[in-house]
Amino acid sequence: MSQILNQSGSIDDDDAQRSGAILQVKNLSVTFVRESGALRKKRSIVNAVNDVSFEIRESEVLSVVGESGSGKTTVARCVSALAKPTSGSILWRGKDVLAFERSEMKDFRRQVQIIFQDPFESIYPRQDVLATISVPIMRLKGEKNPDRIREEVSRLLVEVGLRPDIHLHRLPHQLSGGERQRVNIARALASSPKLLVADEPTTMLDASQRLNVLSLLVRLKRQRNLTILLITHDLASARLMSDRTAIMYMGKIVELGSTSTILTHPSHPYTRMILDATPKLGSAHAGKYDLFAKSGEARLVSNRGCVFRPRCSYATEICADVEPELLEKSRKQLAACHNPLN
Amino acid sequence: MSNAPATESNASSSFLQLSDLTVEYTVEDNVFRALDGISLDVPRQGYTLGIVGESGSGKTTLGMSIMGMIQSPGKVVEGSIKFMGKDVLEMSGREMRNYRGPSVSMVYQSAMNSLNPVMNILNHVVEVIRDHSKNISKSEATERAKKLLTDVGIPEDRFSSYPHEFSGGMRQRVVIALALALNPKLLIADEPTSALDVIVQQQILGLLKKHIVDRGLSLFFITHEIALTEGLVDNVAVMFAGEIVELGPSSKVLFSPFHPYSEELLGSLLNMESNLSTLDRPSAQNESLVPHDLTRACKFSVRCKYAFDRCRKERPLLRQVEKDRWVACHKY
Amino acid sequence: MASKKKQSSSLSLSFKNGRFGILYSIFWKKTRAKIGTCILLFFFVLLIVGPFLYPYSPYAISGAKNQPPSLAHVFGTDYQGKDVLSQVIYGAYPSLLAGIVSALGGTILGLLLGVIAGYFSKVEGAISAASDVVITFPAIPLLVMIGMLYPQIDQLLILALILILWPVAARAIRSQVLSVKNRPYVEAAKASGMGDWEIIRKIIIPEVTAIAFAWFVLSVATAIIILVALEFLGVGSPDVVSWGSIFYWAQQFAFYSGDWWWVLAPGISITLVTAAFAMIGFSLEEAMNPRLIR
Repeated sequence: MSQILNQSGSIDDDDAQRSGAILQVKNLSVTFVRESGALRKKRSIVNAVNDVSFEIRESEVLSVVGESGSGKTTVARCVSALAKPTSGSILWRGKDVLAFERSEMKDFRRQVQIIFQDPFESIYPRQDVLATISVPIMRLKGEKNPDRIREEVSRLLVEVGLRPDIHLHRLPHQLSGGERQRVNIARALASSPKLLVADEPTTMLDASQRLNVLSLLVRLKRQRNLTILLITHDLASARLMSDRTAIMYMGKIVELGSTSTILTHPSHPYTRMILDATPKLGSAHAGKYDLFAKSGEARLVSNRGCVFRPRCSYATEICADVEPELLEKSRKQLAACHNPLN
Repeated sequence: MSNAPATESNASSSFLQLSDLTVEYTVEDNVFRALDGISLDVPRQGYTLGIVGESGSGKTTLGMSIMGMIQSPGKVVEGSIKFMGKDVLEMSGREMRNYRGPSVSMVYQSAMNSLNPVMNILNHVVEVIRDHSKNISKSEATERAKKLLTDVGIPEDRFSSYPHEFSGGMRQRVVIALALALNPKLLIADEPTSALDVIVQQQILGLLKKHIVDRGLSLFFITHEIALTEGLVDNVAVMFAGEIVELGPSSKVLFSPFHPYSEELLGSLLNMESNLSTLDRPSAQNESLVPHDLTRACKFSVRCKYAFDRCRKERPLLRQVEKDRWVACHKY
Repeated sequence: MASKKKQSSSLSLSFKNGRFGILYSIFWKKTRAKIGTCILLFFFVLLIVGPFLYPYSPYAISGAKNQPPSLAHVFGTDYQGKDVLSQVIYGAYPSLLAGIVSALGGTILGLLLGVIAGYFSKVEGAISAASDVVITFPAIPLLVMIGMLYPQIDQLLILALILILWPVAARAIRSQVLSVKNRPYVEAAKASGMGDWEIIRKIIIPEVTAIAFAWFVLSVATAIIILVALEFLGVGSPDVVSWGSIFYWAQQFAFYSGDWWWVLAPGISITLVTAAFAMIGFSLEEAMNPRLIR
């Protein structure tokens, strides 16, 4: 099932049907103006997301991997209708999310839920667990009976690995980071969504808790036949859970394809770089910091050519002039590069 | 390396010695014991140590204690910290000024956000140098500052830029330059790279290695991201509930841990080899029940799969079980 | 060296949970707050118990006219021979009541408008404009006019005062609302299906209540002073005994006769009471500042 995605075009709807896409992102761009300088006089246009297109297929787990500033969080927020795109569209089951009426929006919110990144700030500190998780059950599912609500919340707590007898009436500050994140997950599941957008769900947790939370997500996906969009900066998380992975850099998708292929045979030099930099116990790179010494940092140098050029060891002349399109380079893998690694 | 409390004769020769260090935080009626009887003997400069553990294990408190920065509501209720023979806890204000900065220095995660927004980075470093000794002329201090900034990889044309004009990684470099400005012998780095991207993380760690380890200084690297300690520090200490439960060379502790907690910790790591089939255990339901209130048992016994009777009755002490390995566990 | 107190795990450190719990524990540490509270307690007791214990009535002629302070009349008598201190004691109630009611009204109105302005950015412009107008408008002359036009209706005065007091509270509350509005938990609430009004009810208002309370306390001080000033100018009915009425009559007569004691007691009382409210109000505000970030 090969796909040609180019920056100007869009995914053919027929193809989408065939591949079972439930959500499509078409030419999504989000820009905002940033004021900087001592008197806030310098204004620069920041392309947080720059003409991004991809689709999310039913029952798959798609990871969007990128560093800070890559635009991945903005993409997640647009997908879950928490932020408005500057241009482009988000199509849920073929219909434009931005054109939704109130009832369609309500339905959308039921079906597409988000798990927030910060377990400390995304739960209202004055409400206990029961109250927090009751909200979607009451508002999105319309359940009014308090006993049934309580039952449902208890059920959800068990499903995410918490204990109703202990946790139901706890306040957020009485829970650990991992537990709070589970509450977040329970809240997201309350409306029985079809698509879960997980925005860096483990970034703010201890290394020891990450595996637990991610494996929970995997289990939930299987049990409920969920579709998951996982936003992360950690390749190991992407590798663990996702069928396909998109690598983002400075607002653009630079590589997209099946996770296993991308991680074992990366096409784009940036993918290769992150792979090498991801901490791995026992890896050959451990302690070899020279590899990265000259890699520089993400900086936009010019608006022409490839965004990654300033840091790329394989850049050639064309890279400075022509922006590479996201094209199929080898089977099942799309990369935006003039000199792909394979 | 022994970690028995030092006798008088040993005290003066040790680089850093912690004896039975206990720190408590008291908020209203509740007492939380952040450190419980920590003993550590670092014989000489150049010793590098990774301190790993979960949040709440006490690792940050340990770093702060060595810096002499424990303040109300925290209090050192027992034990001592001796740096090259001098008791840190008994230092006067003046002695502390000569200790923090010139002897021991700290880099921590939020430091990069604590830089003074109205001072350019060169002046940051110059100020630290001049604040400390009035005898240094401005030009000399500036020269030294410039060299430091170059050493940490900041290009010369950015010396007069302000903190907000730099990315996170660059700011953290400035923070490191500040920490090194007074030539400390020990640098404590508490999660210095947690907020940074993986590539920048490697760059910063490379910087730490180059300027500290390679120069023969001591580095204490505190983190919950265990994998980062490999290749950076020679030794690793695993902390749990305010205690050091294991200590030994990185190569050994990271790959063949002794303590059940170390085992659990290393096994719970997500890495590029993790497999779904080996997972999906029920959640650690006791996550929030870190038992700090057990004074007469092994704190880990609640979760330990090897626990037996003695574990619930007697607290295991950190003991040397091999030439260079210490464990606090009754199994050994 | 086991600790005597109960040890607990890091995550169950007890908190005084309610809205004001933390506030109280910090607030009590400030001497200013304690002094202010003591003063208010004193006046409160005076207000309630005074009329029972104190022998003189403010309406009865109990002594010779224009007497300076003496053993019988601690603060002297007025131009008709009525005891001054009794007027202060009996007058406390109407003055304080009017001040508190006005301040309460002003704060509540300010709270409502501030929340709406902060949360709904579309309406914000209109409300800000309205508050600007009110602030720049000369309040006292307006109130005097109203008082002259409707001399017997004290309630109108209080209403007018409420309309004057709301903008300052609204401003403070609006900025607090803005900071809460952008917190992740508000966004999470929206994603969970909470409607705007529900969010305002369940999240925004609890978060601003504390600061609204501080503003209320400060407003009482302002209100009392304005009301006394108005009564001094002749607004409202001077035959009902209140602190302001004392000044009114004193202005008519003592100004010429130099009977300084007439205004000493009410003057001290007003100063103390308004200072007390101010002390408490500012302490509350300070106490809340670091907590506002929570």
